[in-house]
Amino acid sequence: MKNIRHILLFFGLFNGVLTYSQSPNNDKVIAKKKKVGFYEWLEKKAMISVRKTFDGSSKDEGKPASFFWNKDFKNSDEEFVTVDFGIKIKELQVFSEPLLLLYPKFEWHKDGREDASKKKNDISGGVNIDFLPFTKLKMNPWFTGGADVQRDIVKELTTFKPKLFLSLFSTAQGLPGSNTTNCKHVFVLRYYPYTGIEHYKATDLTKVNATYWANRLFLEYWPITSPRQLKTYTDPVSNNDTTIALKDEKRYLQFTIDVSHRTKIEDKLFGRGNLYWLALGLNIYPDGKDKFGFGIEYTKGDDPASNFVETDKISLGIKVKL
Amino acid sequence: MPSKQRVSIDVRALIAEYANQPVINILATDILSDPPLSMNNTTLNFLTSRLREYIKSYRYSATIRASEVKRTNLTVKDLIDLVHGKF
Repeated sequence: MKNIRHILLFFGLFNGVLTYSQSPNNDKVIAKKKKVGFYEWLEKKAMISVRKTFDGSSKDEGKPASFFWNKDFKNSDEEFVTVDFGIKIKELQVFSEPLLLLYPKFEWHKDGREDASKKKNDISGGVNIDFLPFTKLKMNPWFTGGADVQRDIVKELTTFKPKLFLSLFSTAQGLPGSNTTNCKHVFVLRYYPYTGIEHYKATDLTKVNATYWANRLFLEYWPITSPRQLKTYTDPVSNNDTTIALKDEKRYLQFTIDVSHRTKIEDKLFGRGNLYWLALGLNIYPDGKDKFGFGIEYTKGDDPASNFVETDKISLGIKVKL
Repeated sequence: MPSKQRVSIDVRALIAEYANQPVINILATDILSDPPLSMNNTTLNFLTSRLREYIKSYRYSATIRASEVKRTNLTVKDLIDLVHGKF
């Protein structure tokens, strides 16, 4: 618990300093060179990205890394801290036509619960895949998936988890994957439906396994936004029209829904039936940027990041999109 | 081979389509992954495929990689320069 608090404090303070040093003066023209911070260096030079999770799809890439204080509804005396952390290392482009990308990743999900039946501490590593066989259709089917090896330290269980999902992408307003904008051309909505197969196999001597047909939906909605203000003027020297931004676009509030249902095909590993998962999130970004903010999240159901531990909790925390 | 101005017009049109923004709202200094364009990795992967097709229509031996388009803080101007540099 003490270690988690130190990590929380370190990232909270570090990101606070970073956000301050990188914030441009938004009332001035945006054509200014930004300082390159540690995280930018991390992504650009070391090719490492950090998010909450890279669990088989891009839906979670919009979710920042999070360091949460939690309250369990089922056990009101229990308060604890969690860490959800994912690192993606440089992606490999296997094919260009059609596009096939592989990227190795590492994830850590831990909480400080006292209740051993609900406690989680999982470390996983593996490879994610994105495959885009179509790109010119109005609605493009594409595939995402991967294979991980996950070590559940609490349950002392190591599993191999291959999975493959079909999703949709379109550029048309309101359709899956598109940047849906409001009447002032501010991005407000994006969602992805997924359907696919998940397979879990114990790596110990028992070799028991589980297979689920999984259907999920991720949606993000930005209800409170402020549009960018542009001004066009004619440069007296070159006599060309030039457009500048007088004010940056701001987005203050993000609402997320992550809902999934898993239909059991076979399960000799977890001994469960059909599974469901609901995560509702509300994030506030005080400076209108989506890199750093405060979040509240309600989760209920069978936690897919932790071998489907039954969960019903509310979480408060710092949201860090590095 | 297309002129720099031709490439600029074509690349801006593609960005506008994928970001769902009017072309006139797209500034050279806009970062692809940041507001107002807000293109995530999936969108940038699809954009890469279209850019690759565009580049190959002029020069078959040239190509563009997803990692080049997803480079951190890549601006519209950077992308236009990148595509033009392929010819």
